[in-house]
Amino acid sequence: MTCEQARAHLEDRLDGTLPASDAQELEAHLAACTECARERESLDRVEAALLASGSIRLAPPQGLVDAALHRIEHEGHRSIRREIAALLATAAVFLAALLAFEFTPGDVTEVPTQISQHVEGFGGAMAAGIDQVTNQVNALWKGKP
Amino acid sequence: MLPEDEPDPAPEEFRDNEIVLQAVQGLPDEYRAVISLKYYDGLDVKEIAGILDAPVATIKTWLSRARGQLRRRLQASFGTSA
Repeated sequence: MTCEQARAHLEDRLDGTLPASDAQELEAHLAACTECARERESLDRVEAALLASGSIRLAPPQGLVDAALHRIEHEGHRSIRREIAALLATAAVFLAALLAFEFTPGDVTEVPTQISQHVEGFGGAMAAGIDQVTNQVNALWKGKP
Repeated sequence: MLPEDEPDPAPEEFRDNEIVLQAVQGLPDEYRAVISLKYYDGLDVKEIAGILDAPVATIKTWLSRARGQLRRRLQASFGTSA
């Protein structure tokens, strides 16, 4: 197995599409190639970070999801499907970030300062983003009877 | 909401997660969509391909490029540890 093949298999492994036979061959390559082994470690750290960040994610409102899925079922246009998925993904990430702030442990007396800093910085941007996403979703719904 | 029976993560873990979420938020739309559907909704590549009406190969390409962009962004945030 070449390093190029190994890198492709590392991606397949993360995607859950690597056949068992190739997995064994990949492991043998990684045992002998320090560069590809480092590549696996780096990819695994990104994977772990993504999974950990998902643990604090707040799901979008079920009604919004149901409405989106209903439209996807009845709307064949490719761009609309992608647009809805991207909007939902945006909303989910914004909500997750807000939830992370909401549940930050610490002394209660520190909260007002945290809120102030948050609204002035990252939180303000997120709040604006949520409004933007909400408006976009509403426009999408109204514009496509 | 976090389930009540789960312990609160440490403060530094929240900050790390917030950095990751910011990095995801900064991805192009299609990359952000596949990352969210895979890692936050737990869908596999075939399911994502169905939702986004795109070939599986395209979804895998987007996932690979999205992870690459995230790796560079997280390396910049966390140093060489990400």
